[in-house]
Amino acid sequence: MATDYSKYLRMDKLPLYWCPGCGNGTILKSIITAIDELGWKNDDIMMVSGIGCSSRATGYVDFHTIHTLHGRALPVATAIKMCHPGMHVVVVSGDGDSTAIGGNHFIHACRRNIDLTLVVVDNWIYGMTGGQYSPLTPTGTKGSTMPRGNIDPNFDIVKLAEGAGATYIARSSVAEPVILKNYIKKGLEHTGISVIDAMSNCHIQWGRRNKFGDPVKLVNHIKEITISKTKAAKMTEEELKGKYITGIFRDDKDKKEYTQAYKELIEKAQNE
Amino acid sequence: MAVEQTPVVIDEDLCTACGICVNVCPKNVLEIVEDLHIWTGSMCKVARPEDCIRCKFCENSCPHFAISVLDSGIEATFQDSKGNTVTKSK
Repeated sequence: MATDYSKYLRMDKLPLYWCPGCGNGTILKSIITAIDELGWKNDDIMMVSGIGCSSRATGYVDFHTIHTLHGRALPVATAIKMCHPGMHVVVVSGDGDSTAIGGNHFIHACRRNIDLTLVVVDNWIYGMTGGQYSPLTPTGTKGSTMPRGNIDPNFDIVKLAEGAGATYIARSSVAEPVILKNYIKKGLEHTGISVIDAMSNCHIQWGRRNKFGDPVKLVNHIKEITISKTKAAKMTEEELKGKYITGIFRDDKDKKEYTQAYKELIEKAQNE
Repeated sequence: MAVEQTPVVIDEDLCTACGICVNVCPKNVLEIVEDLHIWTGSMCKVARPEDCIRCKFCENSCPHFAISVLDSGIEATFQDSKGNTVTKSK
């Protein structure tokens, strides 16, 4: 079925502000297509974002939206979910926004298992502010604050979420938008926190400094370095060095959801 | 009843000519054409509409919501690259 995007977009805000070929648009499209396939109404969805290129997504969609402080998208989303447990809350956040400035909020949202869908747009850099390195920038690559190469080891967002206790974790990239859409759809359906690491291309801030200045070249590079889970199981550790494994890493339905636990607590207190 | 449009439609107000659709198309339907009247300097055009198999790779990969592809099965009447009028459902 063809998706009518105009139903979900504020058409008067288009064309998009993002650079030509930026992966943020593909990820926004995947979210919209997933919501369209689920048949949810616009008024039942709340989209929250922090600050950054990817966080401009809330400006273009015709849901309930809020564009909050840098790194504080998850606390705002948690508050909204606690006040309106029936609402579907989607958080779109960049890599610097969710793992550096909002890193603490990220691990605690995972720990609580509150029913949010967090899409982390992982483009390896702070794009909007001018190419500073983020905790997800691969070691050895260049940026405006690391002209001779990054010496920091980078986070693995999947392992971080696993350790913090998230119940749905998946990773995909803009090079395979249909698979990304399917993972986001599963995450939206999941009760409890779902973390989707959507690898994106920033050919302007990251790419130009690392010989990937063309969007097609960088998308092809992302396609080369991402390997599916089943394929990766047959490979040795040496072959997997520098590669990103994609797939669904955890889908746990047993852990109690936070708003549900809170509701039970209220009922218990009222019956005493 | 056949609709009178090409299977792939590009919204030229939204297209930024990034070239991702041209890269993913398996049948080489699309093409980047130089057009100096546009701020990007070029524009994506449907060069060979009769070859389209409606796989929707371009629609799903387009970051700027510029491409829409007809569903497989809907009959469309359009002019192919040689100027003949053809009707195709796939």
